[in-house]
Amino acid sequence: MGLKKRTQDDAAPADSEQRQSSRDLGGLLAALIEGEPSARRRAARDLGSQPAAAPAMLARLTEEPDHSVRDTLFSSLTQIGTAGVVSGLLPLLSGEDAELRNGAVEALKSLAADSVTATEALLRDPDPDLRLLAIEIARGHDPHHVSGWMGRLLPAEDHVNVIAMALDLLAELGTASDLALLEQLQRRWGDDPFLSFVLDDTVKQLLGEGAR
Amino acid sequence: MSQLSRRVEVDPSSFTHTHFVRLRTLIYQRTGIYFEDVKFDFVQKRVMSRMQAMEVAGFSTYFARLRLDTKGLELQELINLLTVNETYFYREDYQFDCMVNSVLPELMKGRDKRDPIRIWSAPCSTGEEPYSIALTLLERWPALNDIDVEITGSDIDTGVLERAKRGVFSARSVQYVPPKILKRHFNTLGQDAFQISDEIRQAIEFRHTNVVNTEDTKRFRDYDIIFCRNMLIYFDDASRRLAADAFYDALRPGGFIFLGHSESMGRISSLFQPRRFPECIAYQRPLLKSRRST
Repeated sequence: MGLKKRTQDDAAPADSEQRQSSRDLGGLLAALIEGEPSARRRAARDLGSQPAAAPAMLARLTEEPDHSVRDTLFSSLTQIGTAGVVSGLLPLLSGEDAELRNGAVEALKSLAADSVTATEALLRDPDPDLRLLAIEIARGHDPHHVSGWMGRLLPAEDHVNVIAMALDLLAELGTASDLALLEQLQRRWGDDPFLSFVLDDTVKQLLGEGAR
Repeated sequence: MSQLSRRVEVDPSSFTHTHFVRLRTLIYQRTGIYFEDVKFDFVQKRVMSRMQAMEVAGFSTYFARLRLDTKGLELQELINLLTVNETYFYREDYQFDCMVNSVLPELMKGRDKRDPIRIWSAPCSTGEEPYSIALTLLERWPALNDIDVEITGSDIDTGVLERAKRGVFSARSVQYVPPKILKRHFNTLGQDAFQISDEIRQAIEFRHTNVVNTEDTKRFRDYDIIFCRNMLIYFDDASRRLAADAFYDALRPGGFIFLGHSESMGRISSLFQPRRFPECIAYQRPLLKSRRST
């Protein structure tokens, strides 16, 4: 016993894997819904190079019971990264499944180039929960977009949690040019102890006085 | 005409930010490595070096060759220059302590000793990490007498893999190898050249691998431990997740991955469970079947 060199044969996939259905698009789509989670996960990974599989993968997300397979589906969809993938991910944000919501948020953050319009629309959505998720998605975007978006969102926003989260994002990605917006908000929300505190903290961050 | 006078003059100012963006997109698509704007000078210097070596004066010509080279040989040459390969023996050795003191004893519980322990070092650069793992096992893990251990080193840079196979290291590289171990396992070839023993060199498999390429990582299966230190910091979020997926598939359930001290799997993927050991944190592929959360 001791150190032993691994040979190519040792490392070859198991026979069962080699025998499984072919690895073309049809075979991979079949493998995505059959067998053990490890086989479904491998199919999901391989489908990351097949843009035509995106609709089937999006549909599979809501059916797939295994966490690790879902995670791989999100990675592969991000790899494909088209406007169609972005559209397919958006309905998950309104769903009941927290894992799918979070997975969709992370994927949309990574798909910033394809999700500008969708993020802008989400920031205007009447549902405050969706606006909260949109702010998190905005974190993955170019800071210039973020400043503009928050500049349009915040003056009209009434939901305290949405305002606080938007300010948190500005504290992270904003610049001194956002200070005028903050002064405007201080005039409006100065009597609210929580928002007043968050606003003061955001101003400190933008002036470089914060402790983050 | 001398070699010097035939040399093609490459003007660094001809490599613009637009060129940089085109090149980084190509590199990202092929490798998952993403160069931020602050890396412009670093990339420019290396591109100029390759253009000079290929005797190409204009970036557009060079870029066309990169894209049209179906075998990817020039892209590989460029990648070799763009990846950072600075390392040394026993770097961040508290993780090797964790491996022998905490992780391996846990993996050995109830294990059939005919079933070898498998360890993957990615990226392995010039070999210091996989050889450090081998030395740590030989010197500090008596159970090696009872079970086989297979170590694989992989890297995207073919040049460093060749150097890893040769196993010749500088004095700087072996500076933290205790003298007794240096004497026992290395042959001194000169003042600044130490070659690790044939026995250890021949026991380690080195393999060219791009960890975000599913074709490359497909053959990595049934590993117990992965060391992936200071590589994911070069990737963007999407590529980090692809790499994490590949590592998850490469590990057995219950297997562990060690990341660099400034890296956290929690920010990359929810597939792994953090495990706090006395020496450091490692990330474990869960033993139990994962459950759907709502």
